[in-house]
Amino acid sequence: MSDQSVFEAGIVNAAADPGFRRKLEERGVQNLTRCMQCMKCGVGCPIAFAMDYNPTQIIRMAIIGLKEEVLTSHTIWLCSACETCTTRCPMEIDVAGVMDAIKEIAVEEGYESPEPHTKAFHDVFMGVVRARGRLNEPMLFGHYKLRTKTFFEDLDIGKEIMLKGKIKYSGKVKGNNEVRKIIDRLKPKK
Amino acid sequence: MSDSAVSTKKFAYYPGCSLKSSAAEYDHSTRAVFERLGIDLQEVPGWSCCGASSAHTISRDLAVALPLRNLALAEPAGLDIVAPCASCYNRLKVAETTALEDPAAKKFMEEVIERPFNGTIKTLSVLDLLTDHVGLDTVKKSVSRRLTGLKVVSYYGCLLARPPKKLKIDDPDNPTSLDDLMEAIGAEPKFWSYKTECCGAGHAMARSDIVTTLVGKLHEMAREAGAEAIVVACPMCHANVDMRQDVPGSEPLPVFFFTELMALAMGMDVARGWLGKHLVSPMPLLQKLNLI
Repeated sequence: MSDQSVFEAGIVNAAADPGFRRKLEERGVQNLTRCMQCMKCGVGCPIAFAMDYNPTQIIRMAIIGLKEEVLTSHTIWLCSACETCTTRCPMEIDVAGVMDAIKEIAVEEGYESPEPHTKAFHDVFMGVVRARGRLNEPMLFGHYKLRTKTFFEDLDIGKEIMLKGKIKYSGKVKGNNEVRKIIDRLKPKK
Repeated sequence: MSDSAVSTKKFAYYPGCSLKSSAAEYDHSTRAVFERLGIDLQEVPGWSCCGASSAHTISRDLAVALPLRNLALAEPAGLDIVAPCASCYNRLKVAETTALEDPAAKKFMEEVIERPFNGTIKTLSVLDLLTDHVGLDTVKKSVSRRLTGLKVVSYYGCLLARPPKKLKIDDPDNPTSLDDLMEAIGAEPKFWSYKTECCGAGHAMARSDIVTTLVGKLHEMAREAGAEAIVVACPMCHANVDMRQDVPGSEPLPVFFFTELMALAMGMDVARGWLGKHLVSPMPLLQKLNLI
């Protein structure tokens, strides 16, 4: 679809950046412009109720280049990667993959996540894996609480988890330096 | 079932991080059940995290490289690799498929992980292993105490089913392997339409409100289907569905790992210890049905 026909489709936005679509395509996103707005992804998304734009809207916005809106949306951070959208898309767009590709661009271009706790969770998760080679749940919970200062959330569940001895501290993995190298090489360059 | 599959009794085993901590009972019950079934599970030496629900939010390449490193570590032993955690299974399988189907990606990934992966081993879920390599007849024969009267719904979650093209499964909307297994051990699987709905996964800490909403729906539907318990095959599903049930006006439902129920049906007394780790105690239900 040419950029001209996108605008002829009735959506005009002075701030639109048609180059955004090409940026996604350069990152390996395929079939994006095949989207015919059938709404299968938007209707099937289990988390759409908590999102600002549903996945169908995000795809459309990405195609026409509403870059700012897409990169600052809650949606890209709330996607749980359940892949219901990717599975159901009749045009074979990897919708969940598009969400990840948009997140990569958002981080690289320095956009603040509108879901700071979600971003913190993933950062802390990968930070622990980078340091230890494996996830260490006590470290994940501790560092997450410190970073988000949410000490009073989930106290009841936390207490039960401790009483039942559900989470265990484990040592570093042999070869954790290899894991560190892999993560450092592939994490987004800010 | 091919002849070669029957003669192979050894498999590589990738427990994953959750099974070493919050889902230890899934690890213990899986090992116990397969030992009883004559399958030797050999833990992959030096395995590392597969990236689970976080790596892909940072970089899509990282979400392939981290699991591929583990496949590369396992490959020299020449054994197909079993991952009980649905998330690990999903990541390993997607990495395997990516390496097999995309030569350019394979080359790049091998360079990143600094190890070769030739695609000579396959990733299996524990359910694959049971249905394709052990067989339900063998499972039935191993049962000494049928779980008569235990009404359950099988909850597969997202990661065993999607994306179907990369995981190579036939019916992502209505899988039946776990239901068939429950029937084989004498439980009563109820049909429901929430088999592969999402539990909210990694949102448990940062957006627990989302998880509570999704888990609430699952519990409501499970009750409507006539179930008294939910059976899962994923540590993240277990954590969310067990811990985050907050359904006003109804008693909480116990949530089992399917391997715990298998162990119980095989008459293993150790099962009692594992069940004690759950936040919602399954003991009253099991005692009522005279199963423990």
